[in-house]
Amino acid sequence: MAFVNLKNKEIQVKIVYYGPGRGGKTSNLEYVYKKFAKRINTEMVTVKTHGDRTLFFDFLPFDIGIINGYDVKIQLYTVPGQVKYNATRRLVLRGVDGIVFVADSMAVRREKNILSLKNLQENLAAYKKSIFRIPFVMQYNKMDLQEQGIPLLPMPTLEKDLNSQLKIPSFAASAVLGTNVVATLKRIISLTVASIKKDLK
Amino acid sequence: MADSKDVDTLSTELENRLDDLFGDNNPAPADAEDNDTAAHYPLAELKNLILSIDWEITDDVLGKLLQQIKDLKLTYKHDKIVLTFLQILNSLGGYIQTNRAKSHPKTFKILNSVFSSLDKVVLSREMPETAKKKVIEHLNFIEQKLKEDMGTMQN
Repeated sequence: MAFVNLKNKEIQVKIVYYGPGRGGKTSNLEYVYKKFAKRINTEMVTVKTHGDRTLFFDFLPFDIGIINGYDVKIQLYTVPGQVKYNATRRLVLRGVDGIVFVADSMAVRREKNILSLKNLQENLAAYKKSIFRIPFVMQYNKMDLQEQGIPLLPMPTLEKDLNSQLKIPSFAASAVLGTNVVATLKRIISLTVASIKKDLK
Repeated sequence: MADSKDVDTLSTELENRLDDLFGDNNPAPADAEDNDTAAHYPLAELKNLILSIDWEITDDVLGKLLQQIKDLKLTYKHDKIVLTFLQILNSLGGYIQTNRAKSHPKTFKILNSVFSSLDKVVLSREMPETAKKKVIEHLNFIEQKLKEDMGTMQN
């Protein structure tokens, strides 16, 4: 459940970009930050700490203003995709309100996508959340690589592998070029805010 | 549950706001990188790159790391201690570039440790001559030891 301050009429919405390593999660946030930084008036923070605990994630907070009487603040996070950083992934998922799964469309990454989605399901279950009930958007990234002759998975295959049971909104995208990055973001914000509004009633 | 009219109002309001924020009508790009950061802390980029390598070994990051070391060598061309540190980092970077994920696990610990020492030296601007001499002797020893270890690792 999002952090809701009824007194100040403020809602904080936490959206996490999840997916396999090197799939383009950070590129999504970087595109949003680079293109809209002045409008959303924020700083993107990349946390990379060493010490007692290794903790890596990107964080992009911004305010979308008053919606239906509430000041809505969005917080975008990415998680590290590498298998060894599962503790960090689980930590970043704490209190998540909405998820974008950034799948890597390269044919060689097919198995990694499936494993990462399964990992997401397991990590959400640790917080007693269901992958089938949380606001969720699927993004098939790196579609631009087709022009470079790199073998990609066809959309029907990606949908069958990752979205046949979830049946959530999905976008073919290129985070590097910005294709459908904003569409993905707008859709997850809409779904998440609507879900929170329903919970508030 | 909210009634459908309420949700519809919310959706419309939200969609309009999102269109305002993320519409395509000439969004202003972010300012160019703040060069003040480099002026205040010249190792900022090097630190980011070294931490990035622990996260993910990519050609892009390794290329940037070696280029950054090259740039810093020019910046510190009159500082023998810093140059020695940079030389060690360069050797480690080259070794990781060749061996990638097969690099000896100790390499990444050493890389972070060498950077951490370099960081201290750069931040503690004034260092007595005797201390400088000791650091250089110690660094030469580390460099020699590393070369031997890397030779062993590659065999």
